[in-house]
Amino acid sequence: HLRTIVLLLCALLFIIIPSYASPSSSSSSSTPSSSHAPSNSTRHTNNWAVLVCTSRFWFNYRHISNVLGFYRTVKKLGIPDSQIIVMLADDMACNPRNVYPGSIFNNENHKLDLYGEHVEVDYRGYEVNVENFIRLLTGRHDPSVTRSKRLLTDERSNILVYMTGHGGDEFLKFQDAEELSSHDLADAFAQMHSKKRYNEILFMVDTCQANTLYKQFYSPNIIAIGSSRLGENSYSHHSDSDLGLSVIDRFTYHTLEFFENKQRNINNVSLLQLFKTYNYDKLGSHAE
Amino acid sequence: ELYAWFNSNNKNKNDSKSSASSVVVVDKKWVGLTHALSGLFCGSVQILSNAQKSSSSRPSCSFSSTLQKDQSSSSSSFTHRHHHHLYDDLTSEYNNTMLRHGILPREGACTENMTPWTKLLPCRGEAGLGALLNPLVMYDVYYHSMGTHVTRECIVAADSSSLQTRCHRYKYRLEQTLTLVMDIKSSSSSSSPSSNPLHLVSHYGRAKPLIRCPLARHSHVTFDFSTSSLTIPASSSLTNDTTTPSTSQPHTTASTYMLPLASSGDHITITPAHLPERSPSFQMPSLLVHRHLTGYGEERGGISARIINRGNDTALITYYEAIPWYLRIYYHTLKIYLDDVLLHPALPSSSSVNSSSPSHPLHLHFIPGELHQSPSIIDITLLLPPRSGISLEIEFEKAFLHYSEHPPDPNRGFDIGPAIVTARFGQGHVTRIYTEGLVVSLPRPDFSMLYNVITLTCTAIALFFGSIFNLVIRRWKNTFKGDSFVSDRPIARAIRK
Repeated sequence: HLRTIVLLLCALLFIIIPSYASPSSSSSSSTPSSSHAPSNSTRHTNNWAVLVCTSRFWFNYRHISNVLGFYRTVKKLGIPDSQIIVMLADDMACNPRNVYPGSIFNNENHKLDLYGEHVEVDYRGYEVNVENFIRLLTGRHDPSVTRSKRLLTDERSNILVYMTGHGGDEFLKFQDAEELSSHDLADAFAQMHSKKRYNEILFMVDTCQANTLYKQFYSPNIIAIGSSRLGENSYSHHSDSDLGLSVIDRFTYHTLEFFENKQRNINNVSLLQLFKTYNYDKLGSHAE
Repeated sequence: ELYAWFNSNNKNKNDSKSSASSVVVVDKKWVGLTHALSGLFCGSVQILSNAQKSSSSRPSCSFSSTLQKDQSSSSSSFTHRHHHHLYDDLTSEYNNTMLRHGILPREGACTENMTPWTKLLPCRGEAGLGALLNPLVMYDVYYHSMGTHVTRECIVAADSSSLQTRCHRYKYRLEQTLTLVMDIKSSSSSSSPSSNPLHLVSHYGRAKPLIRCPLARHSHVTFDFSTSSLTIPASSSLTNDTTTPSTSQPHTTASTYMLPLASSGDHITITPAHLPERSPSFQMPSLLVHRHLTGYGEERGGISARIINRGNDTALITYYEAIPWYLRIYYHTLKIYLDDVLLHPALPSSSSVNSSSPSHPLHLHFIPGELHQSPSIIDITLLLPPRSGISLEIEFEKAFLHYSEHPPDPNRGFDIGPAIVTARFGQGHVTRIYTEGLVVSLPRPDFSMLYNVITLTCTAIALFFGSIFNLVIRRWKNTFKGDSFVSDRPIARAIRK
C-alpha cells in the first residue's frame, strides 16, 4: 500500500518537474516572427493595434507625434480605424501653444501632417490612465463603455501594443500622476492569454530604460522590443525650431523609417530585418 | 455641452408613476447616452455621468422643449464649443426630471471631433459642406462651435383615446451646425481690397471644388451680406439666386444660391462692392453677458455676472448656472442688482411696493450641491427692462479635495463651466448666450509629500530601531567579574546603575 503511494508521488513529480523546468517561450527579444509561422499562420485572422501615449504637457509633444506616426503607418499598412485604439493623454494639435493649429509634425521639414483629417482618438486627456489601460487589455469594462473603446480581439488576433512616454526601471509613468509597473503589464498579458484574447503580441516601448518594462512577461507568443536598456536613456531625434521642442524620438523615427522604406515589399519583411536597422550609433541606446 | 430629454416611462408595471424610480431610469439612460456619444464623437463626454465627478444637472427653465427657433451665440472669444441636443417634442407634461444637461469646460475640440461629425453629413467630406471643412483652418479661428441636434417629430398623431403613446409614427431629424469666426484680413496680403476678391474655396484651403452633394435633397449656400458691403459677381458658377430673410439682421435679406453639380473650375469669389470704411459700422448685440471671479486666496471667493440689455424691448432672462460641488455656494449671499438697485434679497420696506414691479425676480431656484456628488444649481428668471443691466453676485468657499481627486495637472486649476443666459425678446426671437468659463485654483497639497513622508518615516524608524538594537544587543567586550558573567550591553549597564 505504501509502495503504491510512493510510486504515484514519484510519477507525479516526474510529470511536474519537467513542466517547470522548460523555459517559457515568452519575451525573447530578437527571434524573428517567421519562426512561428508554420504553426500559427493558419490561426491568425485579424490585426489590432493599441497605441498609447502616456505623457501630458506641451513639452512632451514628441510622444504624441510618436504615437501618431505609428497610427499613420499602421493605417497605411492596412489596419482599419475600427481596430486601432489610440490613447493620447493630451491635446497637442489644438493646443494654444501650437503655432500650427490642427497639425502635428514628426519632422522638422513639416512634410507630413500626422493629424490630417481622419484621425480617431479613442481615449483622450484624463481618460488615459492605468486603470483604463488595464481594463482595455483585459476587457473588463463597465457595461456602458462603447464598443469603439474596447479591444474586441479574439484568439486569432495579432496585436501591436506600442507605448511611449516617460519611464524607468520597470515602470511607465502615466500623465505625471501614476505608474504602470512591469508586473501589472505582465499580469494583464497573462489574463489576455488565459482569456484567449490574442494570438501574438508585438510589444514596443519607447521610453527611458524601456527594456526593463518587459522583463516580467511570462505569457507565450509575445515579442517585446524596447528602446533602451536599464540605465540608458532613450533620446529624441531632432528638434523643430518653429515649434520649439523635439518632434520625435530616435527609436520611433528609425522604426517608422524602416516601414516607410519597406512599403512595397511589406509581406516579406521580418522582425530580424527591423532589428538589423537598430544600432547604437543612431539611437544612442541599445534597442533589444 | 450635452443635453437630452429622456422618456422616463418605466416598463415595470408596478411603479411607472413614481418619480423616484423614473429618476433612476433616466439616470441610467443618461449614463448610456454619454458613453455612446463619447465613443462616437471621440470626446470624454462620459465624465458627465460619472458619479464621482458628477457635473450633470437638471435645468428647469432654460431649455424648453417647445422652443422652435433657437439661436446660440457666445460673447467670449477663443472658444471651441461642441454641443449635442436631443429632444422629443411630445413630452407635453414638461417635467424637468427628464432633462439632463452637462458641460465639460476642460474639454478641447480638435480634428478627432470633426472627423465623426463630417461622417454624419450625407456626402461626408467629398461634396457639399464637407468639402469646405479643413481642420487646419477650422481650428485656427477665433471662435469655433460645432453642434449636433437630434429631434423627434411626430408624423402621424394618435387619436386622443390611446393613453400609452401619443404618436403613431415618428420622424427623426438631425441638424448639424458649425459656426466659425475667422479673421479674413489677416490671411490676405494684398493692399488694395478691391483687387483682392475672396476665394471662397481657396480661403478654406481645400483643393476640393465646392459642388452640390448628389445625395442631398438641397445643397444651398446662403450669403448674408446685410452687415457688410460684399457682393458676389454675377458671373460666378452659382445659380438660382433667391432671396431669403436674413437671420442676423432683421428686416434685411440674404441671397441663397444652389451649388453647381459639377465644378466649372472657377473659384467662387466674394468682392467688396466698394472700398470698406476705416472702421466698418458694427452694431452691438442687444444682449451682453459677462461673468468673472471675485475675491482672492484659496479659501473663499465669489462669482459675479452682469447681463446688459441694450435693446428697446423688455427681455425675459433665464440665468442658469451649475457650479461644481468643490465650490460651496452660500445662497444667502446672493445679491441681484438692477442698475445698482438691490432686487434680491428684497428689503422688507419696499417689498410690498415692488412685488408687482416688472423687475422683481420671477423665479429663483437654487439646488445646493452635495459634496462629491452633485453641483450647485442656480436658476433665476427675471424680466430685464430695456436699456438696463442686471448684476448677480454670489460667494463661495473652496472645499478641500482628497489627494486623489486632483487631476493629473492640478496646478492649472479647475474649470468652471459657463452660465447659460436664455433671453426672450418680445415675439419669438430667443437668444442663448454662454458666459465665460472660469478657472479656479483650489488649495493643493504638495504632491511630492507622499514620497517625502515615506522617506522621512523610514529613516526615523531605521534610526530608532538601530539605536534600540544597539542598546539591547550589542556587546563590545565580554567582561567577567570573578565567576559570574557580567553583561557589557549598554542596556544592562543602564539598568545596573
